[in-house]
Amino acid sequence: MLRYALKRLGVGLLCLVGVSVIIFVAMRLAGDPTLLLLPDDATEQDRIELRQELGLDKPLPVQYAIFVAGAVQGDFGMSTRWKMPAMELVLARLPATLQLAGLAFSLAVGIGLLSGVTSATARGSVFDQCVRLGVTLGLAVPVFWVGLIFIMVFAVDLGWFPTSGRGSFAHLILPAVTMALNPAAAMSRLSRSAMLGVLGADYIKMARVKGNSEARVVWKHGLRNAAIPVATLAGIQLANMIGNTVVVETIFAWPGIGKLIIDAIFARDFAVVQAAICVVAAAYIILNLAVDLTYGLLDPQIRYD
Amino acid sequence: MQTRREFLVSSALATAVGLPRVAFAQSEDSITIAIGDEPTTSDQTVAWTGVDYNTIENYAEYLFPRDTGGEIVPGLAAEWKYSEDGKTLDVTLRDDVVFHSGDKLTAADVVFSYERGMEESRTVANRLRSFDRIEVKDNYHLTFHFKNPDVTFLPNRGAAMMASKAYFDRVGEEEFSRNPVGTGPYKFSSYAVGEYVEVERFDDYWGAVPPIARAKFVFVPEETTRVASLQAGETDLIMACPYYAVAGFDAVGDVKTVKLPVNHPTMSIVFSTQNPEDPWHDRQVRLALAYAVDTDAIINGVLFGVPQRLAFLAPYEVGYDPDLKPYPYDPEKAKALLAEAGYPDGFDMELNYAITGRVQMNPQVAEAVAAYFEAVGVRTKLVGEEWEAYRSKYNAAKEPGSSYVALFTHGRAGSPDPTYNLGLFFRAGGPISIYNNPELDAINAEATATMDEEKRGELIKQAVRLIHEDVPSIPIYNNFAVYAMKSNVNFVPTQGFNFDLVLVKDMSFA
Repeated sequence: MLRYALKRLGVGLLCLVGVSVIIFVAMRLAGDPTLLLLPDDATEQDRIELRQELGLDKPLPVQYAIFVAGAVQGDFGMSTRWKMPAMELVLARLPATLQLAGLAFSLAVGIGLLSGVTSATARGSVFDQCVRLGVTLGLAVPVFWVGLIFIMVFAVDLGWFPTSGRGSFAHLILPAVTMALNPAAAMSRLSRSAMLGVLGADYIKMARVKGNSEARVVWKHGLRNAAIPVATLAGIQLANMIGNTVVVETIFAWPGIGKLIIDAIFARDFAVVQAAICVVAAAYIILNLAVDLTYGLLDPQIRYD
Repeated sequence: MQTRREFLVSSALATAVGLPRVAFAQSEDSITIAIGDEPTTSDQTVAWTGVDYNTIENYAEYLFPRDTGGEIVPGLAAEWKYSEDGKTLDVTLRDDVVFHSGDKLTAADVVFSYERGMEESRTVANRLRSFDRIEVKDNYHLTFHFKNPDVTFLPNRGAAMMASKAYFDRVGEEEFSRNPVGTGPYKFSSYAVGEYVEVERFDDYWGAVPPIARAKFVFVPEETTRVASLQAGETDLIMACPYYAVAGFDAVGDVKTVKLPVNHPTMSIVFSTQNPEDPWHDRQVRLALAYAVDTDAIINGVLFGVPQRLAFLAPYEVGYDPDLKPYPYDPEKAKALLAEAGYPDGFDMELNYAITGRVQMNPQVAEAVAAYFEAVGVRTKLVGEEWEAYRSKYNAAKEPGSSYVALFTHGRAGSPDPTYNLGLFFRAGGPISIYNNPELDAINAEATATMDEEKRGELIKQAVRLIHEDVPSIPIYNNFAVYAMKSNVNFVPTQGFNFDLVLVKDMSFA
């Protein structure tokens, strides 16, 4: 298992290199940062000087080599928009993102599993139909709309939570619930269908015949066998929550990494985009590996040789 | 038809009555202000872009401040006098100014601040193109030398904010940037990345000590959330209140708005006029398009009646010409002019616009303009792009032979001195200019070197007339800064030129 993990980490590292090349080239194709960095009244000469200063006049492979040489030592370059080291900027915002993603993920998994499994056991009931309606709504409504409605109702009208910002636990609730809605619906749908597939199986009948309680049959014998696809989805969703949070972060003024990435892209702040994408890609790789390793825990038939 | 945001706001306002709500406690002597974006630096000598100044100008100051009426008044510089030829400026500093670090402001700090500003901030460097050097006479007397006369130096308040050399030498650059000290009425107290900046009153301030003890600037990028934070009572004042919310606020009463005509940018339709193949190479066609657009209807129907339209300059500017009137809305005349110019059946045209950036409702305005062009037979294809891509295309339009029309953040009114925008946006080869008119350039060059306001005013009038006649751009509306605040907050905003300022010293609670 250790060998497997190391091998996967090696592949992950290659992946990271690939991602860094793609983002490096894509950002440079996206346009000239000097247009945004210089004041409106800068001259062409100013532009040429700034390009030299930023090293953008060098050939692309040379620029990339300089980037890699710095990156392996933890130096991802200086942000051009914010006057500080790019990685420092990214790491300063990571805790806020992890906090939000952590709560949103717990909510999504909790609500998704509970509603999905329960509705599978009561197929066709009123509860099942309510869950299915909820799932359709949860998948269909756009996040920005839900976020704004939540702010209007729960913050402005009722005053239960603050509208935006970070600070107390109360600040976390609205953005986390908004962020959890969509993944919870996906989780619910998947766990429901996975459970439906499992609950008709012979070993479930056998478990019942042996006199197990219904709860034990469903949550132990059933869920464990339905868990693999659910774990896969959960891993993808958690990674998504770290890298893909810009809408929620913008609406709720949450100081996380998603808003930073978008601002940096609009400002053509290459160093920050590269540093942030590397962090997000590393999170994806680690979470994917973690999910793969949990397969073995969930299903003893899986071996990592 | 209601937009998403109008719907949200009106529904929230409608339900705001009668429901139980929790009020967040507010302290009397501290104020919470929501601004759109986080500053890119805390260091006043490094500040370079619009968002930086919102917070920094509360703790750092220029030598020549503006009062809330926009006049340059004595401040850190107690007195100043230009030489006859405009190439030197004698300045006397106040001798009772202390930085928040306890260090006294002297001529050495001025020299240090200008040097560091020119080194670290491209904006400062650009503002000081004509600047040569500072000659120190003693601790409180110095002379600025200029390579050539610069009428924008004082209107730019002297271009660089003051920082303490003694503090820099004592604590080093990193600490200097993280814990900036200035001479302002407030001192920098804390900063949370992505969340807020806090300032507190400086009791040894050289000027009048302001009424509010503490201020917290929270960063709320989404405008609808900014509006909500004010409605929920979490913030006392918001900057950049979206135009759509103004009417709702004005109707409800527990929130009020203050509008400041900053006038820059002037949203305009701009033409590259150097390609004879283009229909709009012909002045008559451009004039026809100017007559085709009902700008008042756009201001009232699309922009909620908030901004204004000027023919060119604002009444407070040097060279303002009260007799110059905006192009009238006259679609019949537009059609006649087009027919006369040889386009009775119109023509095809692309209209470029930005879908991101600091200007609100760009797409809606572009769509409205296009509809007016269509109405006189000009088949208009809308091309909306993200800001940088859009701006690259604009830059490419400087090339002779390029073919380009756009809704652009043009500079007419609202610059430090009118000659500044004329040089930037209308001079051949000017940094943001796609226009070419040697006659205009000659007049503007003369105006730029004329220190006498009256004479300069006459030259500016001539230049403006020339542009108005030739129609290289059609002004649609001038920008307004809108602040919304609780009804118990009093605030008088100051125009900083090119952007609006949110100075806590000018706020108080009723």
